[in-house]
Amino acid sequence: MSVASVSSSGEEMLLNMGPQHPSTHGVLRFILRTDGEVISAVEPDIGFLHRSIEKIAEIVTFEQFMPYTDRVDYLAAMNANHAWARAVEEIAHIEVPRRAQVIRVITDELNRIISHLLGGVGALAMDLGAVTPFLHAIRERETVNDIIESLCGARLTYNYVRIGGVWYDLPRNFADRTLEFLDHFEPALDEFDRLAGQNKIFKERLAGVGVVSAKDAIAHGLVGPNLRASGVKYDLRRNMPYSIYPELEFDIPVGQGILGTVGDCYDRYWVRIQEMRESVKILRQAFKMLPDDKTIKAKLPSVLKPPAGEIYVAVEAPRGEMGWYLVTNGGPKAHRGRVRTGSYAAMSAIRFISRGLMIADLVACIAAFDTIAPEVDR
Amino acid sequence: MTSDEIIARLTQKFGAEKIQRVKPEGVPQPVAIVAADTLRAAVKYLQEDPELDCGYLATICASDFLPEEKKTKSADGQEKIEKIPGRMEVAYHFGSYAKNHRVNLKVVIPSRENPTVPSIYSLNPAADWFEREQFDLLGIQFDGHPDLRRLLMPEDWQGYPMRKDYQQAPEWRGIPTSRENSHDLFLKRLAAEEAEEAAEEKLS
Amino acid sequence: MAGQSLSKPPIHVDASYYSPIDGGIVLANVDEFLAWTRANSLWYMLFGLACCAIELMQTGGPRADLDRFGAVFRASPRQSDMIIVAGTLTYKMATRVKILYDQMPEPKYVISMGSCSNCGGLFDLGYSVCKGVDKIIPVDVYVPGCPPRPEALTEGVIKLQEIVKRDRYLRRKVAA
Repeated sequence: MSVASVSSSGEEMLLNMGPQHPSTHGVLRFILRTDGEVISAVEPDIGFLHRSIEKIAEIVTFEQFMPYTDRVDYLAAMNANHAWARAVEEIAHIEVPRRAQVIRVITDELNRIISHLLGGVGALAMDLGAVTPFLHAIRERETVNDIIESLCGARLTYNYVRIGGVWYDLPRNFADRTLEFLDHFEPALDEFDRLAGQNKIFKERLAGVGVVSAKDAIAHGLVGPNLRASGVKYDLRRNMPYSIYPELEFDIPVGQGILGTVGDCYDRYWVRIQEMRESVKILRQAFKMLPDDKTIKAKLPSVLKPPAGEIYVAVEAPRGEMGWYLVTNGGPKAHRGRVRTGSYAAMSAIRFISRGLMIADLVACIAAFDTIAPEVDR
Repeated sequence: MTSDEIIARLTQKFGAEKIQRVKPEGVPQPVAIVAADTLRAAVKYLQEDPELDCGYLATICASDFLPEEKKTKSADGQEKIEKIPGRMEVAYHFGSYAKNHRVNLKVVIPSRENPTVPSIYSLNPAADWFEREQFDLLGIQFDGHPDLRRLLMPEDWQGYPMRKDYQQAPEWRGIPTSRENSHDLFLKRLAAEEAEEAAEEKLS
Repeated sequence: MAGQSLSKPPIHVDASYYSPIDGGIVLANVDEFLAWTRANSLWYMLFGLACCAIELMQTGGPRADLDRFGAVFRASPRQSDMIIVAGTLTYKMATRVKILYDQMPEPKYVISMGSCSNCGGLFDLGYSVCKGVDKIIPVDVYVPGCPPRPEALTEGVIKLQEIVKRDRYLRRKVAA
């Protein structure tokens, strides 16, 4: 429960939630100023995973940069690959064949499911102390890991999307395995929701905590499920559509204040569960849209040299809008690439949302924002 | 509204010397180059005008351009060398959720020494960390930012890493910043063994 | 059961697992006995930095279970025997690794998991990446991969168990 008024009796304590901590969100450090258990100020200290990815974009060519985009958000590597591929394809006017577009949407939505499972709801449960739902989530994730491994050979950082298409075509029984998994997953997701989301302690720890109004969410630059939980109905797949999303039917879940206030942590959890259900719907439709024409990659010149200029292109990754601001100078390498990620804004917004919370509520807030360290630091 | 229409509205309000529309050949999105002194007014207009309503700042991206020489052929076939001075550019990408449109803005700083740009932190709190990061990596001062210090690199890091002429120091607080390639080590060992064998043969 | 000869197994087990213990006495070296107990109870400190951390979590998860080797994760360095450095080490984090390693009690072991902590890996070209965790702390086992599969990390832990079993703890001289 958030404490609205901060009592100023007693001295303030400076506490360090150091870069090494038993949470799954990576190396993030918070310096807290607390009055007993109630926080008066939070300052995030970031940069512990700054791997100079943007500098490397200026050193290697466009095609060689694809594995690095995996590591920008490793839980949603397909979406991150797709963002970079889309940025280069837009500025170089490359047309992607239809089968590659459908395959990209299939892998994107599969990735959205497993990213929400591990990072969005599983890690949230584990940070609140419930380890069992996390293990349930990992069990579902392992099945999808096997399915994606049959496609591209890797379990975590895929490097599967190429500029102009994708790398390999779908294996023979990919559709059957995925549809079988989806039939198993829908009741498993309901079971997960009953185990974690309908639990009384879970609800009490998340309801009314860390409320973000719609105006604040837009002003601080929150995107993705965090923005939708605060009541703003905006999804890049619907408002600025790309690939084959205009032809697919799906809903955009928006936070409705199920347990009281719109924009609290329980809304963020609920939006992610609903998004997983919508992804299952999209996957079932996408498998019916695979064309017979088997070209999966456009023909590119041996050295790709897009025209000089700048462009901003974004896709809807599980953590929000992932956009590349790409500046080219006519050569084979980018002049400057800047990736805009959702967790960066969420970390920056934590300072304003956490005034008056208790320390345990801060942990729930950070977990509900679904921040991940490489997106913050790049 | 499309980006072009938004840029046309800005040009109408602030005049053509302050707002200049640029769309290089083959590039799908136009950019509006804004003079540095009208940046804050232009951003305020974008946010407050009810038809534009661009309250969402997506990103601030600063780039560094080194001075270069371009060879051009003039009309009578003579080769001329044109010197282009170095510059820095700070690009902003604004968007609107309600009206569902986006626009790119850009400020060009004509020199790479002491680059300064007005800060838009007081207009949009999302700009806080974006500006701190560009200061950290490129050394651009944002006038009016309350707390401009390093964000991603350690506090005692020297230099601005994303500049094109950045050279890395050989060590930081005692940790060496390069690693010998195992292939190079193997070649060294091979060369040492061959030198030893050659010395032995000379003796014998 | 009293009086029953122990040369016949009381329940049906696979012969390779059955080892007769005559009279209930086991003779062993104190060093070997200590090493055997320690090797099967290696508690690792959660030091997941980047992508390899997810594979570390999945190795501790339901399919490739690290718990069957006796290895559970501890958050505090004071309670752990080994540290698995999983992920890219940056210069900003390098000072903290040293502090955490010094806080671990002896005997302690280090597994370097993934290319980034072995040698800088994919981010070798970057300016802020420390080229290998062995520039900061001494490493016992290097596990290659980007990220290594859970089976690869399990093999790394097994190799570390062999190192621990060979370690003569009572005669080891610890640096002062």
